[in-house]
Amino acid sequence: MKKQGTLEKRTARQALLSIYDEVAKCNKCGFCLSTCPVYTITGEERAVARGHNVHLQNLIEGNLEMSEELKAPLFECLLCRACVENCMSGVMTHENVLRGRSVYVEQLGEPRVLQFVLRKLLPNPKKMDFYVRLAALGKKSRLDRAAKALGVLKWFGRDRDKVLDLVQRMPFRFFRERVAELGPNPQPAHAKVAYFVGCATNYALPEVGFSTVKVLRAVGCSVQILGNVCCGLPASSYGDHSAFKNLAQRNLDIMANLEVATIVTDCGSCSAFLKEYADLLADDPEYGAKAAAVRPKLKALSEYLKEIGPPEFRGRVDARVTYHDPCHMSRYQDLVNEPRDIIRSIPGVEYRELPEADWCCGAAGTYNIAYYGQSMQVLSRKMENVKKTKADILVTTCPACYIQLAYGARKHALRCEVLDLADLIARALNPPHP
Amino acid sequence: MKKRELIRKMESIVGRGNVLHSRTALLVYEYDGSLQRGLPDAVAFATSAEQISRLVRLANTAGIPFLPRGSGTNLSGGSVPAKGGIVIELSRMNRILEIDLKNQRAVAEPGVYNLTLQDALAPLGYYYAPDPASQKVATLGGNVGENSGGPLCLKYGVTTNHVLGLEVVLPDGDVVQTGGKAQEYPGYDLKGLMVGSEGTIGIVTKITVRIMRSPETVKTFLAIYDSVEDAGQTVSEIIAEGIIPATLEMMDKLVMQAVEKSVHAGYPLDAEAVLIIELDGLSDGMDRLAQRVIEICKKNRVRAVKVAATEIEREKLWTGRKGAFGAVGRLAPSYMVNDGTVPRTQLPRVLKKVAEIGEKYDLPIGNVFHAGDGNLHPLILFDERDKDQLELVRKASYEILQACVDVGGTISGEHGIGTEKLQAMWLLFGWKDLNAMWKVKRAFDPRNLCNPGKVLPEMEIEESKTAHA
Amino acid sequence: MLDHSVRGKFKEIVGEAGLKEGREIKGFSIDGLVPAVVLFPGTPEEIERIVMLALEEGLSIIPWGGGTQMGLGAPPRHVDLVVCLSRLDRILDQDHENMSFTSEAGIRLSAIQKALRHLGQGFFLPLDPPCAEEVTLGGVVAANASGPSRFRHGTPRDLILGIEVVIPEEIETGNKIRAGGKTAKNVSGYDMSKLYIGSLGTLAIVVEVTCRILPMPEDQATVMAAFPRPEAPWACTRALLESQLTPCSIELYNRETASLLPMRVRPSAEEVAWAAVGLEGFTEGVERHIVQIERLVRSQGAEKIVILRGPHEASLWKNLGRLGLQVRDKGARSIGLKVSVPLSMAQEISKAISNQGLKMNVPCYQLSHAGSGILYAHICLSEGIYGEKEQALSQMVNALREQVEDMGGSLVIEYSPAVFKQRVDVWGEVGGVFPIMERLKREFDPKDILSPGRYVGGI
Repeated sequence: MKKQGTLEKRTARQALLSIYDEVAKCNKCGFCLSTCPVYTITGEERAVARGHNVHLQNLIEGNLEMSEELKAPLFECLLCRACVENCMSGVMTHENVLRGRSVYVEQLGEPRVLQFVLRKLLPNPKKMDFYVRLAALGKKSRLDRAAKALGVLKWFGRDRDKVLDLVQRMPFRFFRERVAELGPNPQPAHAKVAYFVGCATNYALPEVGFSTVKVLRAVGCSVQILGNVCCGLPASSYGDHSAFKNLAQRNLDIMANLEVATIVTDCGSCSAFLKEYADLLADDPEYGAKAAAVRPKLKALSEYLKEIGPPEFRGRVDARVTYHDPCHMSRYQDLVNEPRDIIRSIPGVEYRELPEADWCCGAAGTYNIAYYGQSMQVLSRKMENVKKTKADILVTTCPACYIQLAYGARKHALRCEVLDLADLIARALNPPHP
Repeated sequence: MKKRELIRKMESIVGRGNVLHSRTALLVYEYDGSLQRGLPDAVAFATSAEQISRLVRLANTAGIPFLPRGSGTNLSGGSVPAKGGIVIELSRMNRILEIDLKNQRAVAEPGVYNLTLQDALAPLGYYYAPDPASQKVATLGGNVGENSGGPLCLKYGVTTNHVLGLEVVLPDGDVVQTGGKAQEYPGYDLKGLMVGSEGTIGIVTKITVRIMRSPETVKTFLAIYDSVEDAGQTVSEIIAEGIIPATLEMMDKLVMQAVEKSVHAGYPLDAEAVLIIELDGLSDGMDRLAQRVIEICKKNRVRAVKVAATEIEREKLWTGRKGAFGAVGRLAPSYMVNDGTVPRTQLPRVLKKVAEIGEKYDLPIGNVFHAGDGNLHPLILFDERDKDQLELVRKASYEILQACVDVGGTISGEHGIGTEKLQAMWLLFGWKDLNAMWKVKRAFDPRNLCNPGKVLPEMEIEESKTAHA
Repeated sequence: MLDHSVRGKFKEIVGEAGLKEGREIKGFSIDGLVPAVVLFPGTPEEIERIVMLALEEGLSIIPWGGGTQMGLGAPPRHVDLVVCLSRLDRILDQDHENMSFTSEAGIRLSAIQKALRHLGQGFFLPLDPPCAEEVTLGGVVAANASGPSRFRHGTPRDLILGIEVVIPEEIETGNKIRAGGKTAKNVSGYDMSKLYIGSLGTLAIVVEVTCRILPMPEDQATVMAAFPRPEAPWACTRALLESQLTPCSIELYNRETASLLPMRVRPSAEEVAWAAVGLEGFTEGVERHIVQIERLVRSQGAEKIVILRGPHEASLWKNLGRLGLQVRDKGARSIGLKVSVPLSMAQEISKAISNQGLKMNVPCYQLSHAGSGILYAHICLSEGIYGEKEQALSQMVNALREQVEDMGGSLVIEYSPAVFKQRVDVWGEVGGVFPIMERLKREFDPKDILSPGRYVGGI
């Protein structure tokens, strides 16, 4: 299954030629080293932007062939973009890495299990539900059989057991299955919004889904739950361009004909990635156009709330609150003040700025599964910083970060509660029941 | 010793997984911040002096070269093997071991970033004077190897003036101490020789530095000029008046444009040059001093002088200046930075010569430098993928260094000789001067295994008639 | 004694007047050893030829500057020639705009300062070692000598930009070599200056030096205070070091030392410990320092506080600089120690020295560069007293050295009777780096003709 790309050498070089100028822009000043969460842990050049660009340049110049040895260098990047932010030359290393990944997959193929998930499960919610439920069951009862059926985790190897702990509780009923509990939308509504429900929210954090709807309704929206599939970020991150396209097309088909002005999502990663559809599909006349048309409607929750104004807070949250910037919110969308402003506006909140607030938490989607050890080391640094704030509540705006941070809080025995921004807002909407 | 055996032995010292030897893995150790390239035979990640000592002894047994590497931001090829061998990577030896305020010393491992030490000291009201532009990523060990400077060195000196003690693994593997927390020790100043030796006479494993009480007041100015000559003249006059600012830096238009794109610090895009002037000390008399400086600027036709009103403004100005090298990547993919240093008064003349050389070879050259101590950094912009251009760039650089030497200057103020300036050493020194340096090298490293091919050009030693012991 | 033909060859090099011997050179003894001849070369080229000839003839050489620190070092194994650089005193370059100064090594420090005062708006060389009137630039460099202002300005290793030396090697093109340059920053090649500085004439003869000069400060003053308690000035020192004030020097001395200084009123019995804080800089800065330091010393119990300026200030520093000379005048068999310890340990050592002095009933004149952790102890001994106490003295010095080395510092004997140096090692521990030092010596002076035996470990 794993083969050397000798026959495809020309193809690999040609496939990467389009980024040659971008990688060559790196003049090796090394300023990326101290900003890279992975390099900070490993101290290895292959882990940092400079090293990535050099590997890619060598591939393009024919000094190196695509091989399994490039798997770790290409795939252990968090794609957090800290390097890009600090790169004095402005090299878009994350794009270079993604391109490298997709060429890797083209050349050396993809593990079958991963292919299965990205191409067969993610586009097919019913099938996905089945397997996730199996995982939930397996986690609850720890049945060997269930674990085996969880071939999904095989690709993620040795740390499988620890990985099962990542999510504290796998809900048995997913958000989409509980939509009826939401009740009807308020009448009359000031606005109609569509709610793009991300996979993590649906499968692991349904409460966040409930909070999001509650918050949207509190600002006078009537909420339409979209029947979307995975936004495609995992597929893109793993270099599976065709899997991404498939997912994107399905989502665009759903989103293109909506009669809403806004499509909101609570997930920072989803909102960032959906906004990239237009660029990623630029070569596709039909879907490129659809993506461009949809783009202006896409908003992260805090972004939308900033536009239309916060809800009325009839309750309060008396707590010390701090905030972690998901990479996809701060660096990909430049949404830094929006969540903070809302938090600060909640009555009773004492806001404390988190040191290194935008330093990656190590989740990076499913990085914590694929590179558990490294992910945990990155997480430690985040937890040390959280400890410094002595906060009661740690808020974030991405479910992947949420899961990672909650795990971190448990692991490091912090008495800090992790909440999504939607949860925090929802809590303050009404005074507590007597 | 066969390679496999070597690797096995290395792994037994630092652990499996901490030795890189495949071509793919080694390709990212072929470079540093310069244009020099050299592939190692292996890379070992060390975390203690003991490990380094054993690795060095192993290299001695195998008869292969070895060299230390920190962040690899070296600008002359120092971190890149000239003759293959083992790279001993120190990036994981990165603990600050002690901050001793009552003795005004700090002790750190070589892999600590310079800025990390600064950040640890700042809340205590102290700082470490050598502040090279690369301080965000350059390590203390690297600073020691190159005798790094930085904008503050005009007033406060360079690394060698602030290093009090070193623990070193000698080229034969012995671990020794030179210097310490006190200021004087009997015997030859081996510590003084070690600083700036570019990793060719030993590997530093622990560094004791002097830390200083932060100044009461700091005032930072941005002086904007419509001509490079006026800016250069201002520099001369400030010094001639007996004012020694904490820093006195210059950037020209080309560099400023690149920098402003990166950091948006408010650099003017249409000015020919700017000076960043920083005064520090007691607040008493600071205003008068500032006034004198502004007057000198005005006398030299300054367009405007802005004072950084907040710490954030000040930091932005410095981020721009310190990131200048990297920033020119927005103008061209590669750069060659020269490090010639000249007597201050010769600056205008040399800058003119640099511009002429740029025109001669049709290469754009930006200037950013420590005007106060005459340390130029002409940045020649080009694309290293074009091998013909690379050749021209090398020629132009040599001519620039020649111009510096011609006016009584030197070929390297802080980046070191490495491999890049080996031939240029002959511009400065004669055979016997270099021979004396070879004596030092021989005394420390008779087998020439410790980062060979750096600093000193190879030469014949027949000329001497005196027998060697 | 020197072979007649060899003497002739030397005369040929330096000229009739450049060679002295017999009664004329009685003052040129090193630890009791007198050379056969003393040579006074007039140019660096003459020195090159002298060294080449000495190599050929296997003669040992000891370089000589102002002769004030010849007591430093172990007794030489032998002394054939002394090469005195006093005629090499030309100023070669005074570049005040670039703040550098180059001269031959035999020039007296006082001559440098005089010349610099008239340069531009007035400059100075920030070096103030003891006996500044007599010392030569080359001597200061060879001994790495320094004074109170090292606190702000550093020592020769911080001030030398370039150097030319003559090494004992037979090279056709000459054996004078250059290192460094005249720029403030220079990392071209190894920092050879660091090797030569402090090498005490065992590796090379320094013939030319380029150093950093500074503009004269706008204002200068010294705050002098006397304290009733010995701990008090140390507490002041600590407070100064922790503050953001920037004095030029912080000198502490004891009553014995104070009694040697010319003062209108003798120190009283209550004034047991003294401090002199040197200030230089802009007028406002100096004023502020004076105010704050006065307050500080008063808070530690000082009652006598004097602000010195002009000639009175100069006189204080000059006399402090001549302390060693004065002690040696009073007691021909005196012993001078130089201690270097981490800053916070200086007080303890000072106390230990005082106690020892009391115990042994010998007057001990102390002077510390308190801000640098450097202490000088001059133990005044006449012939008789020395003879009586030799054993106890050697025990004392060894014990002190042990205490100092445990603190991570060093203790060096700056001068003493030659016989004392046979009992107590002049230099102390060097540690695991010694083999490198030996190799350096062998590389530079393979025939061991330069100051043989004077340096650490018998180098």
